[in-house]
Amino acid sequence: MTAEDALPPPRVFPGGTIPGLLLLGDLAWIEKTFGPPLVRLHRDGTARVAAAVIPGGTPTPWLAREFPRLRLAAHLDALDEPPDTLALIATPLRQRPAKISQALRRGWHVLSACPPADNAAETTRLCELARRNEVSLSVDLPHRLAPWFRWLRLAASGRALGGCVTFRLHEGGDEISPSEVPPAGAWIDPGLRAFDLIANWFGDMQPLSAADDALGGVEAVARAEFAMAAGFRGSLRLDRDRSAPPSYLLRCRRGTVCWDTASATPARLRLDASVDELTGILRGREPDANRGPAGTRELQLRQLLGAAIRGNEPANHATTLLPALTMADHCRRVRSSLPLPWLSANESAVAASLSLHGRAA
Amino acid sequence: MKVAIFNAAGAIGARMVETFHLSGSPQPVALAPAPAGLARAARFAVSLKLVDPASTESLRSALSGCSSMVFAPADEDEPARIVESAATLARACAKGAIRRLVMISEAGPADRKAAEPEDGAESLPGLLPGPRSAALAEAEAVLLEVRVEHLPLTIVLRTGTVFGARVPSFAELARGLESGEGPRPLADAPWNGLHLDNLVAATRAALSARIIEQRVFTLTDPAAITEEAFRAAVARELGVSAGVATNLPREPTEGTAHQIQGFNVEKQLGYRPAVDLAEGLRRSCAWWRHARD
Repeated sequence: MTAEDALPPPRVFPGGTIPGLLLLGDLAWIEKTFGPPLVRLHRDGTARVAAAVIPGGTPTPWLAREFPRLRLAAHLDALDEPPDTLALIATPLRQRPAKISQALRRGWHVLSACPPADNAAETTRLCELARRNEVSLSVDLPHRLAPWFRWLRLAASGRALGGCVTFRLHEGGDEISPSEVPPAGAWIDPGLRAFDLIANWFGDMQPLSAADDALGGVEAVARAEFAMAAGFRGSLRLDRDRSAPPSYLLRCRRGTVCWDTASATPARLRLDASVDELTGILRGREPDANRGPAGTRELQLRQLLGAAIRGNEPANHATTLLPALTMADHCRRVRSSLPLPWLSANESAVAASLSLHGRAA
Repeated sequence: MKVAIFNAAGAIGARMVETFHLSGSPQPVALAPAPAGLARAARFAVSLKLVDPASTESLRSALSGCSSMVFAPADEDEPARIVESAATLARACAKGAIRRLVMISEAGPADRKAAEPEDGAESLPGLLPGPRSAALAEAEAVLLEVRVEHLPLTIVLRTGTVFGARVPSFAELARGLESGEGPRPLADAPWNGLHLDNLVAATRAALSARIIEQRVFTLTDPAAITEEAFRAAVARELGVSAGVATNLPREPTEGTAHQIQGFNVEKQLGYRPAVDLAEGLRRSCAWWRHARD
């Protein structure tokens, strides 16, 4: 069975109409990340890419080619899409909450780039607004549908290799949101994905320490250590300075699992005891390399459209991101300064002063 | 004085933004072709600007308010992109407010002993062969021609192999030494290296030096050692074995390339190295340990 065979069939609203999609924000990012899934959904009649907000008024070559009947507007207010339209919003983070609010008030479902807002309080407010308007606010979290995510969650659950003893997560090689200037700090991008992974795999956590290298701006490198409610500890390194590809290491009582996206064989499993039963659970569930980011985003869109038609909460509802956002808030609040040992003595003194008094984020 | 630094995404550009900002002068403006390239500079409250290296208008707009500029191609820049950026930069600087343009040409002089003890640029050692060096040489020519018609005075700093914090080739060397892998250098090949902080010091000098004619300077660190000795020194600083026991020279050897080339740079630009080789290695390896752990 291929990934495509497993996809749910197209659904329609009562009366036979299919959901409409509206695109707003960084269209280059939307094309890069959602391009093939949007085209496929549009062509197979699952959804109709109906409108886009383009301040300049000229569609990108991709939009003009793939969706020639697209309605264009310079502002969101100028569009008159029907309720239950799905708005895909990828504006810069500073403008995102306002645009999401606007869309939710129009009765549109929203799929937002991650995160909908840069803190948990604002995201909670948006979730409440969505609830009052009886629409859904979901977040682009394709990693949750990636095969490796479920595979590692299975390992982390303790059924295969015994309980987790410790973990080490490195993130930083790829960004999860549209790029912008100034960039969001590392605690947000890619930090939120890492916090979401930890929350999904290991449950509740408490940060023991958090440090970053912001000196009046936003952090490029951040580190944190956690104590998990399950009784073990783990560490996280977010690094946009060296931009190393993501890698995850889970040490369990009876073995170790490594997931290194830069490696030709990203998954490595080492068993400390050669018991066949141990491998049985994981064997046959190894990640499906054929489903890349485009595949997971298509699955995400299909699930979201299905939920909208059935009136269900989507799996990626923004409330499910709140634990990760709360953790990012907490780390930013308690953070200390990372040492920068390559600086001269004078630079170190100035850096110490900036770190204490000059943090902008 | 505001100085635009392009490309702030690279190790050289990032360290320049860091040093200038932390010392309070000159005021850096970080330029990069993609938002991700500004992540390093965004740690500070400095001006960040996205530029399209193919668009004169984009660069001209980004340079507004700046009186000087440093053009430091990043390691990851494609050779064709380097030449294109230089050409666009030359057009953007034309009749603008940029009075001085410093280009960092990190191509690694192939033979520093070929330099003569003179002030002129005619007797410079050649660049190492390869498409990147060719592109850097072409970019140098493009920017040096700017002076003919327009105001900016171009100074080219043709450097040895730069090492230091965030430099990919240094990270590769350190990783190779720690894992016991990596290529073995030729035992007697000279190490034409330059610590990043010395390059920043030379750039600072080039931005403010009283000089009226455009020049090309070559720049390497004072210590005259071989590649193998350098590798051994890095290994020692990292606490691993390189299989070679070599001590760093305490002083530049008489008659070495440094004295030939450094004379030129020190006299005309007022450049003084910020760190000696031992301190440069200490800072570089400290960065590596910080980045690795």
